[in-house]
Amino acid sequence: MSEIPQPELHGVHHTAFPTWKPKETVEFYRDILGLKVLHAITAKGWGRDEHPDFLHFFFDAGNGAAIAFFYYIGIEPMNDQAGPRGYLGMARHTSWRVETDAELVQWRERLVAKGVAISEEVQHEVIKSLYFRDPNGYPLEISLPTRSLGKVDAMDAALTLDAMIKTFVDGDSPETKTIEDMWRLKGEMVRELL
Amino acid sequence: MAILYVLDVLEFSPLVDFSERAYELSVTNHGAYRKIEATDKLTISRVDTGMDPAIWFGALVGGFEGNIEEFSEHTLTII
Repeated sequence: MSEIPQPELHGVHHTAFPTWKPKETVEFYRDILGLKVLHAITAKGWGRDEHPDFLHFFFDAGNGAAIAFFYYIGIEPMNDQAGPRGYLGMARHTSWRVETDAELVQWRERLVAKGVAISEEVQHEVIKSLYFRDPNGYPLEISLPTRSLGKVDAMDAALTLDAMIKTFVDGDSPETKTIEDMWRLKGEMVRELL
Repeated sequence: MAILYVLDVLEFSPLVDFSERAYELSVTNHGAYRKIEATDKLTISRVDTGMDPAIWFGALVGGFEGNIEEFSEHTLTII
């Protein structure tokens, strides 16, 4: 059997989210963030049974990427961002990249000037970030990479994921395991490398 | 014996710098990792490293040997 070639991806085209606040969403992305409206689709009877008619509209997030929304007409809102401190309201987020400290500062100043509540700047391992939310409650982040990722990062990440699966899925009594168990296993794996 | 393995990258270098200054800790180089070792307790103070909390709480990603006595916002102690 011939080897199946590895296809490539070339970055994000768009990500899409439902909105029940079409006006606020347009005003936030177009006017407050200042993102260009790229495209809008309108459809009747194309959605599935319970949401046949909708609009689908796209804002320019830079570098060929867009953030898009579906507005389903006549559908009861289902705000899955309710309980904004829950992990569902935090983990599923969009982080946009800026390239300089000056750009991060400009975004902070713009968001503050437009009355958007933003976080303090958070220094993570390889990015520093500002956090805020859109009118739907979706978490957004603007990130400045503080260094590029290299082979050692990929090597270490592969070990970490291996340790995660061995600890929390494939190992003995995975439901009893803690992150300390995973770090201890990672230590054993690293020791074998040295 | 308490051991902390630290990937040799910028964001974790304060852990290594702190440990090189601490007389009770030894640091050795092993390719992509630094091995921080203590014969008794391995204690690192976050404030003394200058690390921000978001990175500090990821300080164990390289793995360890021993038992974690404390891993708080202020202190990491492995015994």
